[in-house]
Amino acid sequence: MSMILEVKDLYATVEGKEILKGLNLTLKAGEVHAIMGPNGAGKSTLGNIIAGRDGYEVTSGEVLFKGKNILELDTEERACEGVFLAFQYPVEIPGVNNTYFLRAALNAQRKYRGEPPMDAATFLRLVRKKLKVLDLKDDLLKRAVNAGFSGGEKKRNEIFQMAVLEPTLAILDETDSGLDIDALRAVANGVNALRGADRAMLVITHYQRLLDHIVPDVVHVLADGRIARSGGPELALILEEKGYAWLQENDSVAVENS
Amino acid sequence: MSAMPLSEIISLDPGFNSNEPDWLNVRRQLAFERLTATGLPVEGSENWRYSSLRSLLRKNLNTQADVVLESEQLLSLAGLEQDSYRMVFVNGLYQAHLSLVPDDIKITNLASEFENSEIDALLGDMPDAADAGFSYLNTTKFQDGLFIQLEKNTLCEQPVHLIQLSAGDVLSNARHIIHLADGASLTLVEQVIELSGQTGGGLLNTQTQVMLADKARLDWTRAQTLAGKSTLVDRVDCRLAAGSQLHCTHLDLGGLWVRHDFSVELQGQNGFIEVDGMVMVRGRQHTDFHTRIDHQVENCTSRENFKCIADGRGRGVYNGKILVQVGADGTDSAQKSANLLLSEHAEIDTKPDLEILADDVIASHGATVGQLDDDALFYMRTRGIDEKLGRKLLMRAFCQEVIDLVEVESARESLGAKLDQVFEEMELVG
Amino acid sequence: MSSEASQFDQLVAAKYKHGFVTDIETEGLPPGLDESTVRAISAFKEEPEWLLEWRLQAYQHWLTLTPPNWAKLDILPIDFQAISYYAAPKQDKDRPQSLDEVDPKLLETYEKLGVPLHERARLAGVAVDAVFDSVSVGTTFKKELAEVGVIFCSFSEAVKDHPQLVRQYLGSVVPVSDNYFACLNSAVFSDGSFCFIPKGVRCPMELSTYFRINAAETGQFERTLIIAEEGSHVSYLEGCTAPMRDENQLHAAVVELVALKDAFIKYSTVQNWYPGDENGVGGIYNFVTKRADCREDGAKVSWTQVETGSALTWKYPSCVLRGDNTTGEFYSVALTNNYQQADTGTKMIHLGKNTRSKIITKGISAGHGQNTYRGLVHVGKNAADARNYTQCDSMLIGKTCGAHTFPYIEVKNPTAKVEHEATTSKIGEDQLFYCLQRGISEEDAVSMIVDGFCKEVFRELPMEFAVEAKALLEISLEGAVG
Repeated sequence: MSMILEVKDLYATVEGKEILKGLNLTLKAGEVHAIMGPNGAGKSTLGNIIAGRDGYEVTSGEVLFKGKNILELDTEERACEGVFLAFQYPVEIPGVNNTYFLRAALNAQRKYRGEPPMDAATFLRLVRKKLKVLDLKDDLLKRAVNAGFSGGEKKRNEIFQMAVLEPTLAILDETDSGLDIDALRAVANGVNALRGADRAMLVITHYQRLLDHIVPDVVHVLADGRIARSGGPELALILEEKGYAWLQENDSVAVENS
Repeated sequence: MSAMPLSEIISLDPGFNSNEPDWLNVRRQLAFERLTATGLPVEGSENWRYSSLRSLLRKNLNTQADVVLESEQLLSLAGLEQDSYRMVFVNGLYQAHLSLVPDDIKITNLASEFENSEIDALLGDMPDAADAGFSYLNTTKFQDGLFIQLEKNTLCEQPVHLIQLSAGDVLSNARHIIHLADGASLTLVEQVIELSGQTGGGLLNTQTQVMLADKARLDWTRAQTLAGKSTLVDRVDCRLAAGSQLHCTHLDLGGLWVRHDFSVELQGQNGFIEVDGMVMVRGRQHTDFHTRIDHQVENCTSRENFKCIADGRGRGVYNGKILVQVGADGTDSAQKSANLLLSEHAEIDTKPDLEILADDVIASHGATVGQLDDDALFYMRTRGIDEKLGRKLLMRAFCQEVIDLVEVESARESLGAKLDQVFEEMELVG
Repeated sequence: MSSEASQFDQLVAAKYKHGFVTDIETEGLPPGLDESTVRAISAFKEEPEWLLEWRLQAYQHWLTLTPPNWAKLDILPIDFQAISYYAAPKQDKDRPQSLDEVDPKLLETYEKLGVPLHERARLAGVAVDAVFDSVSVGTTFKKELAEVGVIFCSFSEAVKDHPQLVRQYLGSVVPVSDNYFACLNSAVFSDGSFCFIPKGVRCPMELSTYFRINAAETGQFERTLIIAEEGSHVSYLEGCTAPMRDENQLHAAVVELVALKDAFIKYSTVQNWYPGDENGVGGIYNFVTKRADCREDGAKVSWTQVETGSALTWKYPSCVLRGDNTTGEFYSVALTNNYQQADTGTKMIHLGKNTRSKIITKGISAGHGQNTYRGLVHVGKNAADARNYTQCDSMLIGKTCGAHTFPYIEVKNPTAKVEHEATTSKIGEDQLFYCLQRGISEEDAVSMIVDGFCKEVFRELPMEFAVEAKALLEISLEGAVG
């Protein structure tokens, strides 16, 4: 299996405050990893750094994507390389049509890869196919990007975009937050449909419940800016039962698996 | 001195009063010079475009009236308990025998502090504007007013009531100062009421300065229920330091001709101002409410919610200005003006202004003019509620949002009762 | 990655790519304004006596007026004696003889805007007959219009050929004494468009300056009069998205629309005069009085404007909803960059019963631009069941610009419903990041967001115009390459 993401001894600050303190993480193609951890542990920071958000400063360490140092790339170049971040709070862009937006994104990425732009008809066929797979309604295509969407609709729209853009690495940042159980199931189904041998996924979540639906290969616990524990799916269940405080009490016990 | 028209009163030189401290004489003289230069605001200037002073200038006014008021009478008039803290002014003059204040904090009348040199500084710079005539007039003539100065972290547990009584056809000029030091907190309930049995028709020209230091908080309810012919010109200037909060709710039900200018400068970060108003105009009433909220620094929040019901030949005017200065990023500002126009001779003029010079801001405003919802009325009627009661319920619902903001329960209840009384008097079936 | 600040710097540094200098001499009146100037203009144009009298009356009234100062505009004093009030049309020999002689940058802009080839030549001031037969193009359309009875010609021609119509309607919407600039225009107007749509006629094509070739150079005091008779229908396009040659500092135009029973006039403007340089030097002062009179029942007028040019814009296209069941609409996009200032909006005067108005405005401020919406919604005593909906949105790009909203709402009828909403936003860092994360470049992201912001207005423009207006906005905001 080829290497998708290697995070090596990563230190990062936000507004001068050190958030990541020597984080290590490795994802291979076909794998789904979950990152759990208490609030403020740095979960979202990791996603934002990989995607290249302003205001997050890497002080040392590296992030390799398919062997390439992506910290040197602009945000849109990373996206074109195949990094997709499903936002915790998807952004509203009033007046910009969802379909138009997505086609602009897809064609920007195709151009980057040296492929010709996709014409409108082909694109529409593609989009309708994906809608069907994700069991989404057609009217999503006619609306403005996330404007006036409910929380659940926004999250589904993120997964829909992911399905169309077919990234190599998908980072799902708290995709479960604010979802009721039906919406959660729909989102999880969407994500599962996109699992594949060429793709890696990093699922960032606070709660175990999402992992009932998206079963990860590896669960990492992020605490105080580094991976405190890694294990199989059962680790999530232990955390759910005992809470994050359990980590501190059992700091000496290391569970290695991966 | 006998009664004379306002247009002549403003030309009376205050002269030098040896009983008053020098700073006050200097101030009065400067104000008089400016008043002479500007006169009272003329119709047609932008801030006065909907309010004409013509009949006000012709109004014959006295400088004083003989008023005898007993404590019992006052308490019932203002709806107060025996032990309610209160500062009472009749035609701008302090009534010690009717007032009751806690002795551990500084709540007193301004005149008793004239020798305190700090007062001059607290009064601050005099405005210098072509339409500040009423402010100059106040400075040339004020005799007294409320003076509250709370020390650092002082909490005044009980609400303090400021009662301003208008009696007779008198021009009165009250001047109030409210100064809360760091972390101090106060609840103030102000009432402007008419002393019945006197010939009505006076002019109250009040001016209030509010200074809130870091993290101070003022909850302020202002209810005006003047009788038919009285007039009111009211100016409030507030300065808010970092983290301070001002919650101010107005209720204007009375007065023939009323003008408010409520101005707030947000001078420290994380300041919060909410100013709300419920205005009712009937008969030939005219109420003009101007607000100005000036976001001078980052991260302050302002909220405005004004409602007006215009009936009869009433005219309701609202002009709310929000300024966001250069660099005042993180400003969060919302302003609403909702109006009900109920009669064919009534008028609503509303002008919500935004002036924005910073880009990282949330600023929105909305204004509506409309009527009671016919569908709702019909729905109620199908359930057996007659039209008159239906209208009353809908109007009460329209006002309730503002009434609910009144902090002090007793004040909230009495304001609600006053509104109900007004609705009862109205010719509701159209 | 480049920082947010430098992105914005580049963004607001977009240059006006259209300005160029011409030294071609013109014949005309020397600078200066007095009664003899007015008489001379009228004489040059061989006008009838009544029109001269009308001009003189306007001039006498103008002398009693002072310039308005209520707008939120920083205006340098205008020396009215330094302006030349009449320039004779240019001679063909003085013009560039072919497109090869025209500034290639200008042609590049036309290309970007998608201006048709022959139109480019006309706009660039090439002696049109040397390039293509404009007269025949013009006459073709004129013939087609004449068949249905539509009169579309220059104002001067109308004075000669249709004096009764001009006399009946001129000044009936914007009276001579209306305001300082309209009054000046009435005294010294040079030329403009005249349009008459007879009863029941649906104008077979959109009327634009493109077809009005012989009236292309109307100068700085333009006067337009459009009359739509009962049941008629017309869409008029003013200006052009491409730059107009103009060296004048001051423009004071007047546009009058008269809509009779059940008539519909749609008036679209794209204004792209020279905005001055990035230091605020130069640029057009644009003072325009535009007003429509929905004079009879059922009339409807819709104004759409895209204002990206001029150093200073003072403009309030208005509707007097006099007849019952009349409708007024105003859709506006105004962009101010560098040191541009705009104080623009509308007046909706509801007088008749059951009248409707709708106002949608989008103000975009960048650089040191100051953008003001000023609007009046007035519901008169007899305007039963009037309805208005207003939405004013502002977008700020950068920290040195300003966005201001001054709505005046005056309601005197208890059956009226008026709603006003305003919002202020910026191009958020989070919006940009979101687009970048999906692989969209920053420049595309900015134009996409601005375009989305303006969508409700662009939708109202005739299709070709909308495409050009979009392109124009993009050009005005160009330079944001991240």
